[in-house]
Amino acid sequence: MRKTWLVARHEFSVTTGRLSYRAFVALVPALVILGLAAAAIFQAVGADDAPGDDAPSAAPAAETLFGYVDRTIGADGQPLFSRFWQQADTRFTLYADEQAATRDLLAGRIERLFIFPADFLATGRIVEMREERPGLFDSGGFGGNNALRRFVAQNLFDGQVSADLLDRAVTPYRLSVVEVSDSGAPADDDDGIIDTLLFMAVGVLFIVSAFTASGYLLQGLTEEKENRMMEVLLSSIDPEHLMYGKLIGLGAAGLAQIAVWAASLVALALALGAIMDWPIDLARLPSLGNAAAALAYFVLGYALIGASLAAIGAITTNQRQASNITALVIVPAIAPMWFMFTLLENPDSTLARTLSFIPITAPVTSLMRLGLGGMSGWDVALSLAILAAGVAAAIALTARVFRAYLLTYGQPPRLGHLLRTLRGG
Amino acid sequence: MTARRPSPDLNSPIVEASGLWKRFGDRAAVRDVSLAVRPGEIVGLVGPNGAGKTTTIRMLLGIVRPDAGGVSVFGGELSLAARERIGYLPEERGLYQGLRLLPNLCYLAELRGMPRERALRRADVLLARLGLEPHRRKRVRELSRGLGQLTQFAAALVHEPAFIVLDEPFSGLDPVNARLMKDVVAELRAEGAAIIFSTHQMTDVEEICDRVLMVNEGRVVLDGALSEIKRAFSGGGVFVAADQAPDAIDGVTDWRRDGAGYVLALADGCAPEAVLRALLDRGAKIDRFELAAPSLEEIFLRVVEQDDA
Repeated sequence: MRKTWLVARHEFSVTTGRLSYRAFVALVPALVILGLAAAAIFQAVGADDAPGDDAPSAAPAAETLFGYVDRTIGADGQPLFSRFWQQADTRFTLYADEQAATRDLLAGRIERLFIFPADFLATGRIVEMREERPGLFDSGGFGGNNALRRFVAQNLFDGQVSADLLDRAVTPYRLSVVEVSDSGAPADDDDGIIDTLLFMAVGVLFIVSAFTASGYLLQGLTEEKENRMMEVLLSSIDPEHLMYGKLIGLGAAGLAQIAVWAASLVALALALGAIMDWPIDLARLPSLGNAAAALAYFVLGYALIGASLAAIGAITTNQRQASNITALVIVPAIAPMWFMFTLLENPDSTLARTLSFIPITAPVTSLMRLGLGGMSGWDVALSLAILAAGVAAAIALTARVFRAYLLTYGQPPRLGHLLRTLRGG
Repeated sequence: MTARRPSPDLNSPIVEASGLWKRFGDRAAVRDVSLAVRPGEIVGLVGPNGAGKTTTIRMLLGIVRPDAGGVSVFGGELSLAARERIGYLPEERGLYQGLRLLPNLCYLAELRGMPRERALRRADVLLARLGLEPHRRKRVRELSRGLGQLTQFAAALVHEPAFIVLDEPFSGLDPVNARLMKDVVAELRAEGAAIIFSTHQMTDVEEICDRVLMVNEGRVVLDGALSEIKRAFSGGGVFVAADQAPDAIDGVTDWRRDGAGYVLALADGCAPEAVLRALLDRGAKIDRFELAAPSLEEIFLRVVEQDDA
């Protein structure tokens, strides 16, 4: 056991000392810093552009200009739309003459032109004059319609209804969906989007980190075989302990990588919250149970992929041979990503559950399902149990391969011989 | 150089292998090989390529399990603890190329049970003894072939082993560093280490080995003290460096010119002293007179040819 830890410590320090590892680990924090800088710049520019409440009548530089012609006549004999020309960053300009308004539209002095017909109150009809035919997906633009709605509502109801009612007239409702549990009570996590995004991110990070760590394991093994270091190592340590030490050391390096990345993402979220004034509550992070399950999937998933790639490293002679065979492990492991949209749509489907119960596809699938809330406690327990059994089997088989092939050079073994070895022959 | 925990009994072998067999598929790489190495003894393991030397060494180190036969070291079985007292310099160099010298040596010493602090001190001593001190901060890949070989030698000795296996240790070394390494090997022998020295360089074997174990096609074909082997292959002849040809001397059945002298074949029962006296009596000026033992290389070739035939 002492030698296992020695190997683990050595592998960890050698791997974390690699320039490529450090650069890769630093990538996410670097992107975070870039993201924060961009957010800060965006926020600063936005603050400069925002019109003040007591802005002068002269239009700010970034103001949108709409024009309108008002042919309506209210009960008091006055036109209906004679006030509230300034709506947020949109200014409505009244034209008495439609021809003059059209000239300004064609000249680009106003962006849009609306005609309020005399029967507007009866029909609600507004005519928009445009320079070009609207595109297939151009519904007038959300901002434009919103400004127009508020302009109409304020002119029609100001003074007659409360400010709240006026708001509801403009924006009748904001739909909020709350998930209910089997008991009928609201589910614990009413901020599912955070879990979803976080676990999707963890899923991707898992793939990247597990394959990075496993790749280092494979690279280290083939290097040790190529430069005959293996012979020296095996004169002092059993193949099994060597394998355990490598798995632990490189797994720790992978976890360190994940920890740095996760801390960076949390820091990004908090900093963005502060900069953009978004409400970020750490208490809304995934539950302890989900986090523990995610960690278990990472550790077991890495162990499975690492042990499999270690076996490939043992039977191959050089990195070129090894990289040709690694697809046998990598492709099934990332296969759940192909079904991402199906999993997102129905995380409790038969496909999703089946993939969760196959050791090689379980880590990625389950991490996504955890985030989507489509995984019951039983599913998690069963999936982890099957995955753990798969890891135990992979390690046992890899140990046999280690004993048989670590010192073989030249061509990889024939399939028949390999199968006999795996059977313990 | 200090060998760790030398065996107290100089007559008991430090390593003893009996009846080792190893097959790879249908081919027997090692067939019934037995050997023993005592404290303070250097045994030369020689043989042509593919003779089974490396497989034999791997079995002695516990890297490969024999199909039959057994290995005993330090009076017991080849356990992990026993393997920690074995030093190994492989034929093909095995060090971490991207690591500096000191971490390489310390890691290997720790793997063989030496505490880190002690490993650091021991590595310092070795680097100084082998002239590697100026390179201690370098990575292995930055070293020349010869310096890399010396580092590999240091890696084999850093944990103070009592049983050392050196596989082609002098390859790539210039004469100065080869001499340095031979001196260190002699020191280790004097301290009681048991050493197996595998090589193709017969002159090196003649220079430093006490005994020779020659293998061919997986079998031991020659085993014994170097002096005994040479005597056995001398054929009773003598070599004479003299100023006249040894014509018509009683007891000399044949002679031939050999470099600066003559090799004489003697009749059965003819004593070399009688031949020397006869030469002196006829007034010959003699610079050298010795038993005409063949070189180890000649013996090697002769044995292998006979075995193959």
